[in-house]
Amino acid sequence: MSTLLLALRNLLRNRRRSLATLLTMVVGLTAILLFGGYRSNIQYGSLTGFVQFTGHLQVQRSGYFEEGSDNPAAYGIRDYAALMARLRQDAQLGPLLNEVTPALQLGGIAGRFAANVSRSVLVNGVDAAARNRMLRWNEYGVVSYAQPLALEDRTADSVVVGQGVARKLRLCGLLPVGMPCTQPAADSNTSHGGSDNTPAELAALSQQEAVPAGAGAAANRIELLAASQRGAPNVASLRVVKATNMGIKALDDLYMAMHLQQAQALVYGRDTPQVTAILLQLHRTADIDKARPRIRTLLAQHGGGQDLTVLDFRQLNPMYEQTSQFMDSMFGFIAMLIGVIVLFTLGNTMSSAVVERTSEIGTLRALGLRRAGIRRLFLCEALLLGLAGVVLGVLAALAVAALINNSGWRWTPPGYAYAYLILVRVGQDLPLLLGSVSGMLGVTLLSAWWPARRAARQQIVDALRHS
Amino acid sequence: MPTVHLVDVCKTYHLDSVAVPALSGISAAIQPDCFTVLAGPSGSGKTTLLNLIGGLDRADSGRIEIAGQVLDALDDDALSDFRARHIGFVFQHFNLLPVLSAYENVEYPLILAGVSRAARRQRVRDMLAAVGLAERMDNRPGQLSGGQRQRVAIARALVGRPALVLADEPTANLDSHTGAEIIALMRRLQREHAVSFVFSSHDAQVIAAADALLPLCDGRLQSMQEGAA
Repeated sequence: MSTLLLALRNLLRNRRRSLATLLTMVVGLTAILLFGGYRSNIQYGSLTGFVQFTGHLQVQRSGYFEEGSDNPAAYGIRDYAALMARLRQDAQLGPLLNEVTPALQLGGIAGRFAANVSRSVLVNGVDAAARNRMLRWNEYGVVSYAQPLALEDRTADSVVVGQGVARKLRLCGLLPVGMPCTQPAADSNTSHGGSDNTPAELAALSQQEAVPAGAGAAANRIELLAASQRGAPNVASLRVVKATNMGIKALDDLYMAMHLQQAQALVYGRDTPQVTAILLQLHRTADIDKARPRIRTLLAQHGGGQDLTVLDFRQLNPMYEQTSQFMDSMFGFIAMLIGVIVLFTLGNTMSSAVVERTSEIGTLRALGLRRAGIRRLFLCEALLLGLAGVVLGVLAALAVAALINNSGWRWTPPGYAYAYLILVRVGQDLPLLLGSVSGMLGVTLLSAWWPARRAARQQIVDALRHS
Repeated sequence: MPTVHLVDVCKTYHLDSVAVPALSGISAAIQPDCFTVLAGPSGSGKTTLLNLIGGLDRADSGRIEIAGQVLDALDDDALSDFRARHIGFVFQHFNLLPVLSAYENVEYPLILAGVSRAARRQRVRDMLAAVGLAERMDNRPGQLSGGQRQRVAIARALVGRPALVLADEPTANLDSHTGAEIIALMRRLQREHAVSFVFSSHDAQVIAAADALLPLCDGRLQSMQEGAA
């Protein structure tokens, strides 16, 4: 008769009470795992989204991130191609890298004069092929909402804009059916740069080479006004090939992507082109701390004396950290509440068991069982309840998670422009599973500790009097 | 050498601020292979003395020696181990563990004493057969009569081959016929196993079966008498 078997039989004596306690643990653990899985999906999903767009690490000129985004010319990285080659070819860093690609970010005003509208945009000059490779990165196997950048194999004047930008510029034909959009009155008369409606002074500033008349996509042509390296205004006539949903509304209302060479021509004209960032996407997020010091060393050796810094995706996307911290604090609060409920429920169950079995405790001690044996017996009973609770709780959480994941439920988070699937990552998140299970078992043992100690410290003769 | 040697044993209970003397200056020796009864009215100190002899409680002063071991010299764990190996208990309310079968109840002291599984199986079966419960070994206490439960308790007390078995009013919860059977059984087993039995009882049947009588009154030993069983 092992302690474990004796403990099991004692649990089965008062089945209703044991079952009620077990249910509390199962429901509690299921709730923790489901919310944890939901948090996990949001965290891994947003991490994946940010890394797909910004990479794990970016090399920038010092101060650019804080102050330079309005002035790309002042924070350009020279000889970036050679630097990128050094990074790719480095024996330590190279194997960690999934993609290395340059980017030039600048602000501008996009105008669609045929519709008499304009708006500020944030322009991303990119290598479209490399960006599309980055968008396929999905280390954690989450549902990815990234759509391929429709610039690959497109003409030099092609741009992709956020749907918010397209709506503001009244590019209604590029928007999904049903999305509200005010049609411009004279849309059909629009032509590319040099249109009759384009102010003459802006047309004169445009350095974009003329697009042959009758290009067919004239309805989607816009002009972009940006500041050149020396502060002079520069204009490009561009063709919007796609309006894409950027997920976050603030970004969706500003986003514009174009070929890197186009963006460089706008900012640097005929001068040597530069970029504002070198994006590095790793195979594994966990390698960030390994890669960063090596990148710093390489920048110091081959950076050409430029004051360069390395930022990770958390620094580049403060929203990720804020969202993570919010979800973590919510999870911690819920887990703590459930832990306290389980603690008191199980503690009450064990205390009742000690009171009811006082005489048996005396008998066992009289027969020669040590105090530690009594303590072990009650802890064992709690542990058995805990084990049953975590097994059933994990199974219940997996079942409910499967139901939720197959329900197709969606919601649009505050500040987002996309309805995301409600998904719960329980089975795929081993740290969540192990943490919740061990936490629940810890609470179980903690709740049984005091009753077990009280049982073990009883005087034998006093306990026997309860017969 | 006596199985139990008591020298000037005293015990006082404290109820709030009131001191209630339970035993005063008890000195006695209980010989091996004896059927000894602590007799006396309620409140005379029988159970207190039995608890002290069994190492279930500590005396305030005096010396208690069981099978050559001074109990005061043992810490709590050592005292538990000593009980497991040298003392058997039979309680008034039987005190069987309700979740264990008769077999498992008898087996439990052997597990505590570290006896191997094979040896346990043989000894438990033999013991249950000796008390006439070979056919009921799989029954739990709730499925047994009062007399059968006390038989299981006697088997449990004897299975570890202790030097001493202590029985606190073992027939108090039994009818007179069953009580007589239990006394006869214990007497037989005491002789067969050559073990000392010490009872607390005011049951005339038990007293009549005693080899020795320790009469207690108001916590004091009156005089030691030899019985004739």
